Amino acid sequence: MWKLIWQLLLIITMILFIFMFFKFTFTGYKELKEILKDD
Amino acid sequence: MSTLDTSIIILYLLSIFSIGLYTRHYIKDFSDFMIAGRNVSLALSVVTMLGSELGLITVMYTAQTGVNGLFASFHIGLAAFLVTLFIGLTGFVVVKLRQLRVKSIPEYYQLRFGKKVRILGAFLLVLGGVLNMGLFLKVGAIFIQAVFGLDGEGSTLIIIMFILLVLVLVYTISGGMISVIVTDYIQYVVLSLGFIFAVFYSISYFGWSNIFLELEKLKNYEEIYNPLENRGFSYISWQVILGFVSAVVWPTAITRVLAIKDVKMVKLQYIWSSVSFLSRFIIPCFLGICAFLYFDGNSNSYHTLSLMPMYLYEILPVGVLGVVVAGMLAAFMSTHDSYLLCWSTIITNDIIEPLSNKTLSSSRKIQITRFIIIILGLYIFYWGMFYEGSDAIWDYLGITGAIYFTGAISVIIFGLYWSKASSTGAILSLLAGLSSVIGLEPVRLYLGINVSNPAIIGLLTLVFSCFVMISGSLLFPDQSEEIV
Repeated sequence: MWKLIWQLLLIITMILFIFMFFKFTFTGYKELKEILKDD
Repeated sequence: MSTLDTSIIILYLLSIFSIGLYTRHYIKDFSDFMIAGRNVSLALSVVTMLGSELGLITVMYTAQTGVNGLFASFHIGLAAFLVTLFIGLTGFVVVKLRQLRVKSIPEYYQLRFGKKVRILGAFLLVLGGVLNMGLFLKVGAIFIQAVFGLDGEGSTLIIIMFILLVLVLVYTISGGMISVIVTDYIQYVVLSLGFIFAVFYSISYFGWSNIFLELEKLKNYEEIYNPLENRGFSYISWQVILGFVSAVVWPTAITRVLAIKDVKMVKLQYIWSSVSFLSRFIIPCFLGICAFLYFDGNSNSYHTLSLMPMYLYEILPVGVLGVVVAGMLAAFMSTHDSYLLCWSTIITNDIIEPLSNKTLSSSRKIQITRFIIIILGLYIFYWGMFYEGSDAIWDYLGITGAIYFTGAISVIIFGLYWSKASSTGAILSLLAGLSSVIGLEPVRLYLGINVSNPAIIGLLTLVFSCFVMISGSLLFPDQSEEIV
């Protein structure tokens, strides 16, 4: 059971990590530009 | 290392360095320097929290944990994920702290318990925090030594440490929180790409099923997968506490909450950050496991910390290695500037200014902070050269951090949620946290304490701190009305 849990956890982590990477790379870039523009 | 890889690393570091120096003109006052003028939105807050927490040091000690504990170590990432998700869903502690508009945890201590608790809390926070980052420079130097295949004997390590220190000091002194945010963002993008590539490359190198089958030839099933068998219940409980601390009580994380633009964003930030805290552990841990496998489980022949960088050096193709190493080095600088900035601003804001009994100007505070950054830099250089403990880095970090956080957990939680919490209880609780220093290996040996698992000492300290917080508050209630 432990083996299956850790295998699933690794797969889910990678999927979430890649999703977050795309989401926050683009929105983070826009927000960064705003901060630097505000200042 | 190939010329292409070396060129990528040099070019990348120069770019990061230039951007860091360029953003210094955005610093107008101490608030900009400390919390970026409380002007950070959700995506950037999540990214920079991960950028700071996913430093080279984290990657190194997590990979070491993977080498030592294999897949059973994944429970640490799972605990951090569940605890951070719980905080995100409930807003436990973090929403109340953000609503108070304080710049730091010690500032909250003053609001709730008065000036004495603020100064004592800040002093212990700095003591625990500075001891905690004492080995960062050395770990970074071990990474460079391993990944460049440099000789480990003689003064090589000291020279690398010195060069890294100079780079970090110049960079941190020049910038402030805004440069931290900019470089954290760039580091997040580069390091994430490097990680995604390294994980998929490792899986294709060994084959998904082979990773597990080959491990099972080297170790038995329980050792590889079962955390209860491998580490025990007390260790797992300690990891849950550390998960809470990493997300909520540790100043470098809570600074991101205090810097966020809107209170409504705090819960969302934590829900997303739960994935950050999961991945920052699972991914390097997996690379550590692959390194263990690559060297046929022969981890005793090398320093367990060096195994992951040696593995990356061996398997990654030319060009990719340069990007990954450059990302790691940028991560090293990013963690150092976050930590140095955090501790030095707390010393200035929460110890020096309250003790001086006057309001210092922003420019004066920035000057003092920059001077303290240099002193802290010299200390980590000294500590890295002379500290002799042999605990795994993750255990060292847990127990040194406990000097601050075991007391802080009870003071923050009881302070926010229990109206009878008193300043005497808070002082006693903070002082009780000091007893976790017994968990450090050199102190244990000096006192003749034979405890194989220092997590037990951390847990006992936490229980003791909560006990004195409750009993101290009931026996010595505050005479005046609470301020918050």
